Amino acid sequence: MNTNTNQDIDFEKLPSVDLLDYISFKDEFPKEAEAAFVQFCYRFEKDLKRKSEIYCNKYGYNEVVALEITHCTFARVWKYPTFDKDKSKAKDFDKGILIWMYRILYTQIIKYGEKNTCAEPTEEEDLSLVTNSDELLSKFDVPDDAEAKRVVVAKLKTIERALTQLSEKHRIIYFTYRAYQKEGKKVPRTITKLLREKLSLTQKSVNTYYGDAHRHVTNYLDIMNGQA
Amino acid sequence: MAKPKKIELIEVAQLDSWLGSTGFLFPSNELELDRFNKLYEDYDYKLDDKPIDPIAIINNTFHREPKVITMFEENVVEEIESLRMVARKGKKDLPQHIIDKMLRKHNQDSSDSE
Repeated sequence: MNTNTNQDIDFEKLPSVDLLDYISFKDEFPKEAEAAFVQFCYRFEKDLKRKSEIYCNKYGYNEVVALEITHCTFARVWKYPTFDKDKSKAKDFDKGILIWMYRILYTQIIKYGEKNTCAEPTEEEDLSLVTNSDELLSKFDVPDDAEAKRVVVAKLKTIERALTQLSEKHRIIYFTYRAYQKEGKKVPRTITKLLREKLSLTQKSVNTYYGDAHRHVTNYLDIMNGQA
Repeated sequence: MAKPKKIELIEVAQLDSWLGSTGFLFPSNELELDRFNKLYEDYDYKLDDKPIDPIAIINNTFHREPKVITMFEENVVEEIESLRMVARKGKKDLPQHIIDKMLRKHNQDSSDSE
């Protein structure tokens, strides 16, 4: 990292990982950190907003919330620019950074509404702190390149049909539980408490809703696969 | 259920990967991200022209909408049940003028539909 302040730094040309390095030195080099952050936001803003719109839509939130969640995600990056390029298995560092930020974004959505500020997730709540899911992927026989769009659309339709009969409460509980389980994490108690409060349910009901949703989805897939 | 096509099938063990590829969960790797991007390339995004404000983020002054903490009303089912109980108890606890009003309304509704 160039820290010679007499020399102009062309942040537009810097790799995104270097921008994060500059951001992490905001106490020592505040001007450079700010310039790096502005460039970092410019580079990833469009993608993050788009992902936020899609996820928020699945959670029943509108685009106003999606924009706020995007702001909160970048606010977390400004505060904790902790992307670890050595842990990222992505071949493309920019994609690796995005994958890291999607977890931050998703955590913000899960915790949305708890306070009138961006969420400050604890270590166990923070989905961005686990980066081992690439290892899980290697267990399965999956292609190197994404399938044709018609294949991905067909899978989406299958999932949508499997979710059709679930209420909004079922869906929110199901996605929240799956998000933590996907990362090999147990759903933190603070998150189940938040679900209880947001959805006006008892803990027993939250468990029942998840169990029902999980059974419904897997039964549907099993029947389709001819395994029921 | 009609016989599904092969491309529609999802192994339960790969469900999370497909949830992450189709926008229900976050993508965890480049493959899931590439699928996601293919799937939603033509989506009608509403925020493309709404910029974020990095300086406001740094200064912690960006606008936040007021929060709505409760997404669903208090247990609606219980509320309906309690109303049903009132209805079942019926005439006993209701003053005569209310019963008269209900009867009038009932008769009026019947005549409307005729």
